[in-house]
Amino acid sequence: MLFQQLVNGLTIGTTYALVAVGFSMVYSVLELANFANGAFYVFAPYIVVLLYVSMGWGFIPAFLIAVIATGVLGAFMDRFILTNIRGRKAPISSSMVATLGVSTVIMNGLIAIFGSDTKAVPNAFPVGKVYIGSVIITGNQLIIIVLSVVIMAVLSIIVYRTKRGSAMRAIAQNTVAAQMMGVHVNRVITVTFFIGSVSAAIAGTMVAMYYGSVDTTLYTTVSVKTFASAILGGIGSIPGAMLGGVIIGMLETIVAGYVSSAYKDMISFVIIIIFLIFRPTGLLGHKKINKV
Amino acid sequence: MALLEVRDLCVNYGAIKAVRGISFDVEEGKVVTLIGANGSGKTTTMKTIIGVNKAASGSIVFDGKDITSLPSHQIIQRGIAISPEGRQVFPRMSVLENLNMGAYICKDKKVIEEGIERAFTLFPILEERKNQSAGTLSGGEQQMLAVARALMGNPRLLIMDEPSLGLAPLIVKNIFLLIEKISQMGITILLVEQNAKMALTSSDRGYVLQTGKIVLEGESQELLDNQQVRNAYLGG
Repeated sequence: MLFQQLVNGLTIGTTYALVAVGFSMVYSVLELANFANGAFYVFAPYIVVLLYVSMGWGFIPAFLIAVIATGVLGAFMDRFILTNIRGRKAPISSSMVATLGVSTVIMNGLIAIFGSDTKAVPNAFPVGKVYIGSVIITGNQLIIIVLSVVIMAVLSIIVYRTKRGSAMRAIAQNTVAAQMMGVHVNRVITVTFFIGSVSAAIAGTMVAMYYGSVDTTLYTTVSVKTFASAILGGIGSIPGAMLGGVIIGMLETIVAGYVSSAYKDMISFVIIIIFLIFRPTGLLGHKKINKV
Repeated sequence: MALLEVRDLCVNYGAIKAVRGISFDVEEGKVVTLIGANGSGKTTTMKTIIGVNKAASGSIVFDGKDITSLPSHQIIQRGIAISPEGRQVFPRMSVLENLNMGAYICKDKKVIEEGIERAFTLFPILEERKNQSAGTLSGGEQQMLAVARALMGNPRLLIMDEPSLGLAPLIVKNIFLLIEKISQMGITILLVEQNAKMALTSSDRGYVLQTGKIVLEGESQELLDNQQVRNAYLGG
């Protein structure tokens, strides 16, 4: 029973981790809580529903188009809205409100086009199950865990092993100094938004398929869980976001299994509150050092 | 024609006029210094040359080309590098990663490797600490790293903004020996300092800034002998 819960928790936890990594990457370069990230997470499965279910495309092309479209949407949000706000040297809270605005437009746009009822998302990979003792791992769970881990590994390689990644980290640590080294700061930030939105899109689609449905209330749920994962791990820290996401997913499933599923979503709030009060830097976060 | 020509430069911070119409030249191969008290507009001027601040009016010409309104990454590609005020190293990157960031615009791996070798010859302590995060270095070591990082892109003009700020007197002396060494490498230096005596001793030409305006200029030796400068900046 416990092991089964852990497997279920790990599945959902890796998707939280994936969204939180994208969210944290954006947070680290701008110190901006991107409220539109949750909207991108919901946007992608709707596009999959449109292409795969309504228009009868194959799942893979539908999935790829949905993910790329969401990435472009995130990059456009930065390029055409946030870059202008930064150019005016407005406080970061202005950008935050702008992302909230974008998320509202996306969510209401989805309701206007698709309606507010729950959409079914058929399982594109009705593959079998693996038994390990009494623990069942479904093919879907395996796909989600493997795909999330692979994408997070790729993101880590980008951030820690490539030139673009070193520019992202430089911006996160000292934006003006990065600019003085010749980093095209706005372009790197736009790329970061693209990556963050792609991660959200992949996670959102996988979760919609896992649960067999998507609706717009997911926005609030996933946003809270992303914040909780990022804060628990240490906001802005990529390994922290991975760890935070997995822990939240596991805790949630255990609470649902042993206490009541009614309390499942409460865990995130409890963690946000406890960590913000007692350990605002999270498990793996760093303190801000401003040496003169 | 000078390598860098600044003409009637004005820079505003919102309603505050930080730099009010200054002009100066930096001749190729020379060490030129801008001295002045806190808030006289020195750092603002440097940040405007490198494109971090935008000029309200006036022009900045580097190597015969107007760079006044270019973005930073294009200015740096033309051969200007800065070791900024307050060092501004990347605290959670290693010494080596910081040096690599200095060569961000450089695509040739061999040139980067040579740059790192040169940095380690110039500052052996950085080689000892190459895998240590820059945030854990001492102030003097961070200053060396900031200078080494700026040299990584093989600049023609190196801007050194307050290299002596907050450092122990003994280390300050090393910094000024270093300026001489870099100058001998054929790199033109624009040095910004509050430590007027040291700056004038190690430069060819100097400009004195006061509340955003140049009030005096001349050969550094002349300025050192100037009574006005002695009274205001050299303690009589």
